[in-house]
Amino acid sequence: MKINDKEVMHAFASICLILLAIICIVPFLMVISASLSSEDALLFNGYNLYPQDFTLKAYEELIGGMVSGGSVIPRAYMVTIWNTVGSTLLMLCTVTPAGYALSRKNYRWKKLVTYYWLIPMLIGAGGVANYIHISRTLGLRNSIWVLLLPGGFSAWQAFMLRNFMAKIDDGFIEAAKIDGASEFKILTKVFLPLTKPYVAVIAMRTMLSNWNEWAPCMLYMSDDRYITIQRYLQKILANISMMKMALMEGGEFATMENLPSESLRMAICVIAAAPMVCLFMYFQKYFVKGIAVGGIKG
Amino acid sequence: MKVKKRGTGTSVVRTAPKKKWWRDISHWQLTLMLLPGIIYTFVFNYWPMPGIVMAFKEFKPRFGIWGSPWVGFDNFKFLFESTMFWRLMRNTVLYNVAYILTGLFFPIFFALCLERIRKKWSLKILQSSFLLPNFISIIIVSFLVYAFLSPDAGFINNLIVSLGGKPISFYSESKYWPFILVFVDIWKGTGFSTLIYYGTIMGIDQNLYDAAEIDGASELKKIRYVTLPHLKTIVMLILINSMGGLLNSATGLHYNVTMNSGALLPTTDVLGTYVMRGLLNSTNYGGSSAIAFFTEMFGFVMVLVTNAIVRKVDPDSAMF
Repeated sequence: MKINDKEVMHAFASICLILLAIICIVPFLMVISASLSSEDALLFNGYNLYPQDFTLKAYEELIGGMVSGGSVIPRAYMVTIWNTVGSTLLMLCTVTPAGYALSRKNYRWKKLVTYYWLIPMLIGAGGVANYIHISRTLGLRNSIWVLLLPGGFSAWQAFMLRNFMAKIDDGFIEAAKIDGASEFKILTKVFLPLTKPYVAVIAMRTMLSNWNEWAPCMLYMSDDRYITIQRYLQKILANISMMKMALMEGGEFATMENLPSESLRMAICVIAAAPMVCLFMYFQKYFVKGIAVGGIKG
Repeated sequence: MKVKKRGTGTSVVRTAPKKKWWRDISHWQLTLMLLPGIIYTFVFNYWPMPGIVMAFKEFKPRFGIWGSPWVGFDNFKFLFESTMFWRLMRNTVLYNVAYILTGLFFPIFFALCLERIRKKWSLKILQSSFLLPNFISIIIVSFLVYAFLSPDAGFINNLIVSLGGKPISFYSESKYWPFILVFVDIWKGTGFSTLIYYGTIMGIDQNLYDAAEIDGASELKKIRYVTLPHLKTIVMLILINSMGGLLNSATGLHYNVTMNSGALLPTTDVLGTYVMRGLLNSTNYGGSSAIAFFTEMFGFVMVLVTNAIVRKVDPDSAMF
């Protein structure tokens, strides 16, 4: 039998890709099955790829805690949603008009504004000065706005949108102008319908990065009032490592009783990741297209 | 150069007298559209900029940035003399080099593999699973890593024990972490980048492959002489641009996945995590702001240099 090198390559490629896919999926399987395992089985056998001693107890506990109001999770969830939706809407409201105005070839101050936005991309105040600016000068410490406002505009996204809008035929503008349309009308009635996919990509990216954001909440929130779901999970993580340290030194650990059980922790992970994973799986077609047009820098 | 002759009769006849630009309403409408972004950039980018001088001050929270006393280069002297700083530099640079190289090799390799797959539904399933790690936060990644490495219930330790070995306490042994962190970075980023390169590869003219086929090129030769040369520009651009970010830190990865464990700092601490800890403990503003100043300046110079190089290589991709 003659071996075709095309077939050999195909087989080799398939094996490599399947391996990568397995490596990508396995950790998710582990967390989901851990959240569906009983606590005893988890302590005794450790994590595994399939649920051991299948039970929905962790989720019942989670929902029970939510219903009785004794849990911080629903609140954290609401804060995360508020922050994600707010930031994304703000981003769209600032970036779309900016991208449109910059795409207009005969706009007089185009260069000026482009440089004005380019400079902060090259040099900034640095992490410490920014931190002091936001927390002290602007007084946003412990305010719910600190999670929402700083991510409300991105010059980078505006430049991206400009590049797409610049490709639209000038004839559209001329025609609309003859009809007596204002610039705002041209943007909303002509340009937005034509660039909808790109605007959607910007919205999706902003949503993803805001939902997964943890640092601002850690830096600017000294109390738990406006804690996000990611920060809540991070606190659990910190408690685990503190507990481990205390156990190693043979001491008692005070906050141990606050620590959710292993399977409950995994259940929280699942509900923290689920919205974005589901959303992006659903809109995957657009997202993949967005990767292609968006290039490397995000 | 063309010399225009006056009065040759072919000039365009203006139908309306040209308006002064400031009387043009659409100019002001467009300016109004830019205004939110302009205000934003001022408030969050330009306003804090003078604060960069903090690096030359001894920051006292009571007096704010401007009331704090100047200390000249003391912060830097302290920094450069400490062994800590050189450890941070070494870690930051080495990790970045590792991330850059693995971030090129694996995605290109898997994109080449993906190119061979023609069945629509298998492509779809593969893409979905590759993208999964991209959608979850670094905090959840930390939980996943913990599920593998946890000293008593972790998957890997379970495996070691069941094979008759002694469990490894990963979170207090720093020597494993360079591999773990690089692996996690590959795991999280490869799928997304693979699709970028896949897009580039699919954009290559199919006729080139057919021509190579007629010339009797093997499949490997086709990759070597058709596909890879087409990726040269994009790879070069990424390499050059990542030089500018050599002192950037993957703070989320290094801070959370290690669970901020003190025992791991020798091999995991990078500039970003050091600054972050400085902010959280609000004790060491001097060292942190000196590092922030240093990285900003380094980044600035590198962007100018790399941009000049990019302009030579591929003028269209230059930032300015």
